[in-house]
Amino acid sequence: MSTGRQQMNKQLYEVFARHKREDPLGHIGTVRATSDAFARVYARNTYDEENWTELVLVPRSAIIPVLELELLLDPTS
Amino acid sequence: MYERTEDLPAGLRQDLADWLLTLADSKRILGLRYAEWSTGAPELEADVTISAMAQYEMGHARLLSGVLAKMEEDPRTDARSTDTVTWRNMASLDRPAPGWIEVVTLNGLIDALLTVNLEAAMNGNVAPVALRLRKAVSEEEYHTLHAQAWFERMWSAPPEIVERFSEAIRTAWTDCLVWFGPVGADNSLDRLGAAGVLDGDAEALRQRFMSLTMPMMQGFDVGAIAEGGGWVLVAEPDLEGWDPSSRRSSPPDFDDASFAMLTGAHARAMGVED
Repeated sequence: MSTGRQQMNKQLYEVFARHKREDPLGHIGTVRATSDAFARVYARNTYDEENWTELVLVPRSAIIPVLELELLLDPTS
Repeated sequence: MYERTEDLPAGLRQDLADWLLTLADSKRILGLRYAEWSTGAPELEADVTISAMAQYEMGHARLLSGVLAKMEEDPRTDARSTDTVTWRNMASLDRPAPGWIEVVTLNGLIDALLTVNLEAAMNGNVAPVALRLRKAVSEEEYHTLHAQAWFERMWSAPPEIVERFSEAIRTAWTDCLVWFGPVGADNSLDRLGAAGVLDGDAEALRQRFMSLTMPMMQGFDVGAIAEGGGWVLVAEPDLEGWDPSSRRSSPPDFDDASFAMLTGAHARAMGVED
């Protein structure tokens, strides 16, 4: 579905965070951005509701699959 | 360290009150200008970001107003609800930003000037101001990153966008230089700096502003030349008519809708008081 917004050269980033130092880093969501700089700002402002001690981003493209999710739907549909 | 604003000499108290109001009014209206684009940014993530930035700006305005409200020198009167002249925001904020290009410019220049001032007071010697500003300054870090990212994107946009962006920058840049006022002449920033209320005088703050913003210009000529580790202006701004209290050369020129929003007139028309 088109949002009517700019979609130029956007990359998907996975967002991870932890509350306390001893907590595991957990996946909290994603952002789409045209650069790492935008991704940092967007993640900070999208996920700032909670008092994180750490918030990090990983480009989806940097993730190395070990067991890949089987697609339940035809990706072209 | 001054534990209370009352401990400052009378003249400095008035300088501080005037400074607080210029920042509080500018931040409040900057928040309004950001909020006007909370569903109109070029991408959904930018909507979320500009909305958050609007809330931060209004929060900072409230914080500064809170300090000001406790001072006898608070310049605000009841006339503010009907008299535009009593507002002391930066001139670039008088009218709504006509496009996202101008919003980015406000973020990159006006917001930067305000942040330079907050940092100077955070490192100053008036405790009620300095202690309250730590969180605000840390929140501004992401406003700067947002501006840097958008400036970079704007400079690589099609020529017509770059041209409009350049024009917006020239206007806001001039407004910023005017705000800093006369350097080496009668300027309350110099007095506040000399007393340690701010950790720098007018020229020091202007240098910090240029150090923060010039790297974002990517060579665009705004009339500042790098020299000796700082920046030298090709020409000082035209300060004819400059008012030291409002730090601007002409009274605010709000559109009716903006002024009604700022003064709560819309709410009063509905029978809702402040």
